[in-house]
Amino acid sequence: MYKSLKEILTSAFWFLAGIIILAGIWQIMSLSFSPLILPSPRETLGAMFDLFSSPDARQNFYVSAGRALAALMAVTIMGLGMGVVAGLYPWLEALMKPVKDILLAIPPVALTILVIFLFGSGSLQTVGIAGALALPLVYGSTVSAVRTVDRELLEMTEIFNVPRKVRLWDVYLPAVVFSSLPSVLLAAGLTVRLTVMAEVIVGVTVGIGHALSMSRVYLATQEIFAWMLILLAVVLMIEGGLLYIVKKYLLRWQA
Amino acid sequence: MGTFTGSLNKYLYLGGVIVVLLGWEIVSLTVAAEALPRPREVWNGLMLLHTNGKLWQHLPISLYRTLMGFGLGAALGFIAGALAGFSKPLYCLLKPLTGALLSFPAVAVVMVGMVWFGMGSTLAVVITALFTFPLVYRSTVEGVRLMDARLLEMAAVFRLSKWALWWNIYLPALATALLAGFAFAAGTAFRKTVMAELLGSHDGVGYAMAMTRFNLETAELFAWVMVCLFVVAGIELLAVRPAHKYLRLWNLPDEKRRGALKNV
Repeated sequence: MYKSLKEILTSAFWFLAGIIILAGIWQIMSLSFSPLILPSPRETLGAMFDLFSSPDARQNFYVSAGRALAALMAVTIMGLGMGVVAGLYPWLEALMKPVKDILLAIPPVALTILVIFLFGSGSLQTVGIAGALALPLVYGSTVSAVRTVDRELLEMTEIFNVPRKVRLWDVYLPAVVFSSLPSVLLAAGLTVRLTVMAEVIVGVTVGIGHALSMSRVYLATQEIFAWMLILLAVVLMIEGGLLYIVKKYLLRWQA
Repeated sequence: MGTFTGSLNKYLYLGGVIVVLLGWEIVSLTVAAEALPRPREVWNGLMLLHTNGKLWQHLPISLYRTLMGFGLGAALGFIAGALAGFSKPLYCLLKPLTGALLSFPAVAVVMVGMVWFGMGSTLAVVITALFTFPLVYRSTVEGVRLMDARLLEMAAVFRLSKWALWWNIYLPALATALLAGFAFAAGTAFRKTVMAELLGSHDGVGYAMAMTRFNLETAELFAWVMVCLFVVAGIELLAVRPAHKYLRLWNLPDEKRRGALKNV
């Protein structure tokens, strides 16, 4: 179903109107509160540019980005690996389900404190927390991807006696990797948020979570707002932009 | 690849639980008790929370906040979602708000909330409502959109009265969306409440967990984590499962659906 240009333009118009209304409400409300409570949009943008030019803030950003990326890589490798194995052997999936259920059900903060108790606090711990909580997402979608691998293709490999190894590498893997890609991107947005959460609660000495905690202590509300906008931009870029591109171009053949 | 029956899956699940418990027991034997309490000690910790009254002091507070925040967020989400489902401009208008709410890291919002509301119930309820809202909103919009266009067309052909239209087509579709969205959002609501409490409250499960960290009460922390898991499992059993059972009644194949319409 293709949208007409007119439809796209009207959608974009109302979307922009939504942003302008939000910014307007924010601006009007900020007039009646002190900047300590609610900084105005302009003050927030100013704080954002201050953050961009501050080496400390840039370091915080890069460290957090590194942690989130490390978590994402671990999640991708483990999620795909475990998902393929569990997809091929349903009894293994059933056996692993309790762990998956626990990771899905546990409040992230509870897991964070648990990890602090068991392993102390530090950079690796934040990566582990973000990774563990995002893992069920990639794992789950990989399992269902394996289950839905083209039946006809599989039958053909059986008829032609294709070796198991070839079947795994040339039939399962491409199908699974491609259909798991959206979940990996969703996991990317998730690891960003989880990394910041873990940083705040673990109490690391560098990172966006640390910067947020400091801003709160010093009542630098405009900095909290600025970080929120930056994080929003990052997550939207991953979840909105990349996911859209992947779904539209890479996964075209699926539709 | 064999097909697995439901009962066998249940046994395997149980097997998985036993493997986790056994692994836990074995690891806990090799490290110090303060580092990793044994499963039995966690059970004792749970009993301790019961006897020293902490469980009954903090859990009701958290459940109350979850319920309030969830109720507020779900009500707003449902109303906004029902309206936006019918009106494309409104949907586009609300998209920046709901999109932002879905993308914000909760801790950052909690920090702003702490500045605005201080520590306490208001903060936890508002945070919970803020993160329940977009979830219920989204599933309600989807529910309205999913209302079978053909079903509506047929209703127009048969000149269903407004009342019959609402009762037989809109409401079931909305109820479907409502149940699916509510059930999923309820677990999330509890997790957000615990987060808000941990950072900005002087009572509740989240606060109690933060306290175990400072007092180094490992067994009690594990017991609290168990309590959290029980609560989410309880929501799952009391709300999500029955909801999905009910959903299956409505998610009939097209033929049956059309057949069902004949009885309208």
